[in-house]
Amino acid sequence: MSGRVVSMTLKRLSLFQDLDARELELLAAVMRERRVDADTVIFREGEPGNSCFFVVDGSVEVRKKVGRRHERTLATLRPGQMFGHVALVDAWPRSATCIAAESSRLLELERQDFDTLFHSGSRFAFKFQELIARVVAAQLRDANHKLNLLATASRATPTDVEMEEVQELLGFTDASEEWARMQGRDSTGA
Amino acid sequence: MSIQREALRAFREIPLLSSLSDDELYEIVRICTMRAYDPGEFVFRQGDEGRSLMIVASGRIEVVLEGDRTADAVARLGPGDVLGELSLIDAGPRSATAIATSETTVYELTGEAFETLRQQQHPAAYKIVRTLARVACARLRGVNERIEAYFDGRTPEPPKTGRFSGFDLASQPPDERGNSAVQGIRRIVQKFWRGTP
Repeated sequence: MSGRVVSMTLKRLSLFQDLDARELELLAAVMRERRVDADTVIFREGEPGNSCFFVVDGSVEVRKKVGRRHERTLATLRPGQMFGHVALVDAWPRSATCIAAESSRLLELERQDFDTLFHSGSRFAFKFQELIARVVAAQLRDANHKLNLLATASRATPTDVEMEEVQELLGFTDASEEWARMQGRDSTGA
Repeated sequence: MSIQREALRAFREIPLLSSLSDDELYEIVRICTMRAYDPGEFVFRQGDEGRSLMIVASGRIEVVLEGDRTADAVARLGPGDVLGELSLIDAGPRSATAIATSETTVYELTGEAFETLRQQQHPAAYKIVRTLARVACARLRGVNERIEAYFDGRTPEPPKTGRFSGFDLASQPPDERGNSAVQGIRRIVQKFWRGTP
């Protein structure tokens, strides 16, 4: 994919809507396209972070180990979403594993180029920083919401809406029957 | 000592502002407004649209979650502590309520004042945003860690109090005293695990 095509692709992603044509070109010039098959591990939990990614087509699952033997799917990332940036900002190891859920097209930005963008002090660097900061702040807001739900649900008898949200968060939608049984209610919710 | 000089001295000690030079700090001091609250007065309410960062100059502020039935403070803040800093980059509603618990004064940096600084591409704004990105990442890891604790049976770490209280004021550890709901969730989780090859 040529720089021009990458820049066109970037323009499509709402994440970059505040960037002008020249800035998109600058960004496109340092990005690399990657096509991955379903089940390709993009990076693993615990590894050092060497690049961040943007989903162009397809989807990517974020998974985390639960205990020693199990894995939980935390999120499914869709076109336009960014991942892997946290480890580049704070230089800690990867906090989760990312796996292509289907055949997908990604854009990769390597650490060195990310750092240049993030730290150069240019006008564009400032915009890029703000973009990253906003993405992380939104993720944090989302995580806070989930934590609040879990805390609420574990503290008292949750409402049906809260329970639905918790089940969605847990990653199973068919648990309502089980839950209703535990609550001594009819699974139809009547 | 002038208010400005006093503020400058206080601001030098704040991690969020630690990369700023004295000139840059002075610029921040210049655009801050001083606010005073009586004991029991709200600094802001959960769900408010307010966009401002506050640095406690004197007094005490407690942060509580309004939906929390236990009504315990999730953070207690004093001089030098910062609240609401992420609202500068993420204009969502306030995630918790802050109440003054004594005669309290704060330095307030409003979203508008910060926006002006940002449009001038002032180095102070640049440095604050960079630090905020790091703060947000650290907090995201912390919150995710606490979420995961619900899934692998560990007791979540109690919430941190003090500095950087703004956004991760999410929860108390689960009440373990015969709480059927948390056990219910865990049972569902365990059932799910057993079903996984």
